[in-house]
Amino acid sequence: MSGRTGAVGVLLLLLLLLTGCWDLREMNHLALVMAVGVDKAEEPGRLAVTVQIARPAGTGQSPGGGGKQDTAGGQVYIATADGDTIFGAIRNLAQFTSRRIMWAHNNVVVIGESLAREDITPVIDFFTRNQELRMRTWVVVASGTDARSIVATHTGMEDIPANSISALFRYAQLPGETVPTDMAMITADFFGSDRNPVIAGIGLRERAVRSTGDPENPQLIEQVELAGTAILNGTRVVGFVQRETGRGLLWLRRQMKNAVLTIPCPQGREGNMAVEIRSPQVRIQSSVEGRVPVMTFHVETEGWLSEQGCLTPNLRESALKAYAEKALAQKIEREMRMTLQVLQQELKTDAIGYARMVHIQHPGWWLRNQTRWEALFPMVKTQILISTHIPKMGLYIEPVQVRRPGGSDSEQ
Amino acid sequence: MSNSRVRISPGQLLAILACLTYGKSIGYTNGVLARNVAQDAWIAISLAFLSGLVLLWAVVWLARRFADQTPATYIPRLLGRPLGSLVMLLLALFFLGSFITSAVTIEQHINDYLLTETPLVVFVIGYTLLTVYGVYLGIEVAGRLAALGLTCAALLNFSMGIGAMDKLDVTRLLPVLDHPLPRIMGATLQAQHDVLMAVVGALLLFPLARKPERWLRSGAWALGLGAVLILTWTIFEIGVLSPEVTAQYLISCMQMARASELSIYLHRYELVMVILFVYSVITQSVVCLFGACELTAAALPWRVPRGWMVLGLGILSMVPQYYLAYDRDRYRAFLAIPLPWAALALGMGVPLLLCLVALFRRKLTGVSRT
Repeated sequence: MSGRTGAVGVLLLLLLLLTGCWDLREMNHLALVMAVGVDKAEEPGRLAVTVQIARPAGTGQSPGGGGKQDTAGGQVYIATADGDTIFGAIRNLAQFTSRRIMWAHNNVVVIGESLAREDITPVIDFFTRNQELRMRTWVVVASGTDARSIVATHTGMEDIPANSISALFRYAQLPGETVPTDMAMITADFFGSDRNPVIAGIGLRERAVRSTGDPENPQLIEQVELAGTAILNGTRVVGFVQRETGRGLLWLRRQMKNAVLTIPCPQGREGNMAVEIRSPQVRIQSSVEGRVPVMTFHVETEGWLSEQGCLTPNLRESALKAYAEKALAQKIEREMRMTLQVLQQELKTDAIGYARMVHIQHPGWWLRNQTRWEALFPMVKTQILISTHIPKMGLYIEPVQVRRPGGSDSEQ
Repeated sequence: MSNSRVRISPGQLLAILACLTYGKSIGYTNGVLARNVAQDAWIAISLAFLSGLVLLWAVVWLARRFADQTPATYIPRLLGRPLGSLVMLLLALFFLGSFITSAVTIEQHINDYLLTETPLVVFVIGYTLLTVYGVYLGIEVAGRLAALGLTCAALLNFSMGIGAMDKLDVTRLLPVLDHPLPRIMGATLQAQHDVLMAVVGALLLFPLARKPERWLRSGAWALGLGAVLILTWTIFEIGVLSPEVTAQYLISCMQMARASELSIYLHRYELVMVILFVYSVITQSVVCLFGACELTAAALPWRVPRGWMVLGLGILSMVPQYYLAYDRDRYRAFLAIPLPWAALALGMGVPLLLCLVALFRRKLTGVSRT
């Protein structure tokens, strides 16, 4: 019995340890950062940090319409401060915010375009050196705007705008034009030597519509949208690829998962058809017979014919599929070549990872030529072999044909 | 050995030896190796484990030659009292050093990633006292803790793997043998300490384990299991983070944990990692401190009560623990050069010396229990 009493006494004493001492952090003393933006400050050499902080008292309310510029009201609190360093700017936030900044729940790091075009090193360094941030945090470059505007915009359908931005990347594979980049992916390329990093781009565009009572003049509100992918050469952004070239980059980096491609209708008819890319597989082989390596892409993909915006009289299903498969392959190759043109001739940046492929497949050649790679990359030849298969036309089993007499299909 | 009646089962032996290889290795060794041979780190670790298997075979041979005798008994018989005491002190130094690195492992993990404001000295004192208590409870308790530690380590590997599988890029592990073989062989030195902890631990624990005929099998399984558990981390750290990022961090496994995400609802994986990781590290620490105490007690010419010996060595170890853990760069330098060489000299040199002497002084050896 005395032993049991002693054990209970020890346990009660141990309770004292649960109060916490040095690392005590009360929830109501914390400012949970949901998104952070880093820009060049107006004063040269300084950095501006803008944070979007969740306001617990404000969450759960109606979003109140998109596009609202949150400051001190609503679900989030937006604050900005500048400093000589990011850390200094964050410390300066403490001069007027009532809570201690906590990064653990941050969803997205936004880098202003002007800063990104200069050097992203401070951002990568600070957020990977800090133990609170996750490596799965999305990192984006504000395309055509500053990070502060992105962070301050109330966008999407979520209470907290940062959650809406985060969801854009979780489902970025659907439009398939942007490489969704998180801190883990960027740091791997940033610290590595055989592929230049890329960072997803986002921008502001009038997308949401708010009724004003006048049906002819609805109010258009800026929303955050995916805006291609920023290409870095070393530590700075040198350009963007968007839409077709954005998709081309995904194919070239073997990160394409899903996309909708538009191909023209067959038989020279007006209109387009939409093909949804499914289960794409991309392999790269390299050869170094001459002075410069030759890369060969083997692309295999399925496509579902999801939309046909024209009638196709007298066209059998097999003929339509054959046409669509060929047109799809041509479309994919064209997009890949457009991106190659941009990367090799305009930006001269190996964001594909050709260097890594050559290093893996021809280590001896790589050892002799790695120091000349920057000069060799624009000269690398690329072959693209594409195999497409369309097993499904949505729920239809026949091409669209109108059979009634006198219909627009009446020439049959 | 003061507690010679205590016996551990072959399963417990296996679990202890596997745990001895695990904790420090996934925390630090992968980073050290990535700094040396980048994506070829897994080859260096595999070679270290293969060499460990050969040494394990020699240790089993030695232990069987001396039947029920413990190292504290047969080392003085083999080498004579003065030299035997010196050799036992050297082995004790190996175990004490291993305990210190093991303790620093957990202290830095918690201090760098979870409780960053808490003074390091709190972890040093707290963890040392916890380990001292573990040693006081005895090796059989450590055996049971090891079973839990091994299970948690397997769970940790599994959960980390599924949380990071979508980020695994096998091309980062290529090309294989990108570095010259001699350099990779040289880099195995960095992984030897983890393997030698298990092999020298086996030397200490075999006499306490039942069924001598299963010593070799248990030991080999433990090394195999340890290798699989560690290589999983090596492959994921390099395949997910890249060799360059793995090399950038002192505690590369926590960086890996930061990149692992068990769904969007359990995105903070660091705490899960430490919870599942800590049992195997405590086992490692307890067994190492136990070895240091037993061999020091046997080497000293006067008798020291077991409790005082454990407490004394524990308190003594706090100074180097703090010294190494406080300055991260100092610890990185310690892991890179002094530790592997000292571990090789003591952990491989002493058992081989004992085997060699046993080979030439066959009359001294007892009848094998097998």
